[in-house]
Amino acid sequence: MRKVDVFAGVGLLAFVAVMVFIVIPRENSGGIWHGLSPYFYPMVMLAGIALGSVGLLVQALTKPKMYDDQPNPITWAELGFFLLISAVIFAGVLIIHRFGMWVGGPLLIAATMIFMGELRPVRIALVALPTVGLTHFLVAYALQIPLP
Amino acid sequence: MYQQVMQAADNVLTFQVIAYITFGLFIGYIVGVLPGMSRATAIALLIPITYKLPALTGISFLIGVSKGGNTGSALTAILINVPGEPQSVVTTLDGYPLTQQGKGQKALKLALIASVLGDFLATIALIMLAQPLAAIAVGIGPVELTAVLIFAITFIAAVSGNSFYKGLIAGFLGLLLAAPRLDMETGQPRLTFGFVDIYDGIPLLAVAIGTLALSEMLVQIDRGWRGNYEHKVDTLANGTPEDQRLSWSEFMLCLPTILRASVVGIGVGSVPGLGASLSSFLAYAWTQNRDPAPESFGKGRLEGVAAAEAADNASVPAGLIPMFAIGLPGSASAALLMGAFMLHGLTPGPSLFRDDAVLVYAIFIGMIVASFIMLVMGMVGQNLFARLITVSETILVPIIVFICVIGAYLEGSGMFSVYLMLVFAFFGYFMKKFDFSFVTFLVGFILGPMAELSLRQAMIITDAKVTSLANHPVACVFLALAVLSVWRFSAVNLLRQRTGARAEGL
Repeated sequence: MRKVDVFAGVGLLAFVAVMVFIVIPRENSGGIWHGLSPYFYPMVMLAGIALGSVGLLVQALTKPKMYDDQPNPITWAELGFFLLISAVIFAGVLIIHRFGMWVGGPLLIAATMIFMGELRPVRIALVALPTVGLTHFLVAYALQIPLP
Repeated sequence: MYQQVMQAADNVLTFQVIAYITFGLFIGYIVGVLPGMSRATAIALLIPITYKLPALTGISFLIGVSKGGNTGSALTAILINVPGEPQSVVTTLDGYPLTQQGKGQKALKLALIASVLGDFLATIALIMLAQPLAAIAVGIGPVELTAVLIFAITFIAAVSGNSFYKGLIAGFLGLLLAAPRLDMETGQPRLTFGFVDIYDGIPLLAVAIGTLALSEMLVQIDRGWRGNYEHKVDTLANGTPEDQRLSWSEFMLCLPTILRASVVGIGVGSVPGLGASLSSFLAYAWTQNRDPAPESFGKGRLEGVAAAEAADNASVPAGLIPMFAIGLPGSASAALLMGAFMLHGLTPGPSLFRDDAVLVYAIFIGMIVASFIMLVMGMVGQNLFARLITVSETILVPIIVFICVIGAYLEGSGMFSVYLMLVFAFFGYFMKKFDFSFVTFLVGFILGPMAELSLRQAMIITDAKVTSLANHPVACVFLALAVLSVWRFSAVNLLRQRTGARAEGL
């Protein structure tokens, strides 16, 4: 966890620097206003993030004993697994966007079930199809909101 | 006022509102029973359903979900030693040993009654305290409001996670996330990166569903991958009919405990950020310390279950006191409820009592009605709900992932919201893994527009001079409290670390 806190502190400081020195000056090029700049509020919040990040860094670097009994929050294998399932869900959303809910919905549910180790096709179909059908009925007919 | 209350009662006691409260409690109960599903997740997913409903019906429905979720979480805690919500951890201490002794039904009945009583008493406290507090709060100006918000964020950051700095960063990130929109003074797009869809601000549901619901599903998938997705109910000892029944004398024995624990729940729950976990732990510890045989706790004492459940459920309505009184949500579910109010064009806080008193009274009456419906629903359906425990996560999680996608889509920005939700799910996953408080993040995000407005006004009023604060003693007090909370309340974090009863204020 200590290493994570150091990375988080440095990463957040880098984020603040990018926002303050690159993003905001780029956006803040043309407008005319009286009084406070539109970027006053985000700058205050970024200052708060920077302050918290410095505190986190100082804590991580100067109080290593605090982290003695804290396990590593994520391993490389877990990260890989997470990226994989994220990719599966993202692909499902892309299919919903491209081909609509009736195609993408069951595929998203089925892919997630298979990913979680459920390999019985009948069970997958019995979960995926009624879920999409019921959702379609609720949203399109009861709430009257068109779905993709 | 009498006329307003009567009109409010008239508005609530209709088939539509009662039906939606019942439906909300039913869904909440199911959510509470399913391990890994939190009521905040459920509220985030169900907000879209309320779009087409009148404000009273929609908000009563969501409050029903919140109440039902809290009560239902005791089932898994007692029957399979798995807390449905983080705050039910304390219920497992005596609830599960009772189940092993064949007294599961007795524990469930007591948990239900303690939950309903705690919830009811806290609702009464909410009704009695919210309006007087709002009457005081309505007089405070932007400088004071800014100081209150600074205090609230630092306080919630200090108490809602294990690291104050991470809490503070999460709070500021949430506040920063409210910045991309059209600037409120100039109308100039700010940090929108050319996306017209966020000119009105980043959609609430994309953030809420992403950071709360979908990221939680990713954590569940990850956890199951390393363990097992199935929930198996252990072989339970069969008790005698006396073991299953809750007798009147047993109830009367636990009644003082329930009342004391409810007071703890109301007190702790009404402080933003402390959450239900701490209240149930404190009530349990108090009950144990008062008992002549404290060593028998943890081995199946009814008072242990009663204390944990009463305090836990009392903290839910109590958590709405700061929201109704000063517009300050103290937990993720309160923040989402506040978001739901906003989506219906209402701003919780002192002005709501002035502008729409009938609606506020109607919501309060609806909450009392919900308490009674919850009792009946629990009595009738507890055993039925308990069967849901065995539903595998390989079925549940994919369905919820799909509902997340649809829920984000419904907010109005179409697929843009869905992609945004995926980004926030990614973000939320790492927040959870790296122990950044997503409660503080969400509270910051919801309060962002109000914080910006009051900060700007405060800067103009004080002419951006610190010395001008001398004219605002109330603001000075809250700023001093903010500094104090940074140091003093980090002790609460230590307490949580020691007890393992971490509260995300869900």
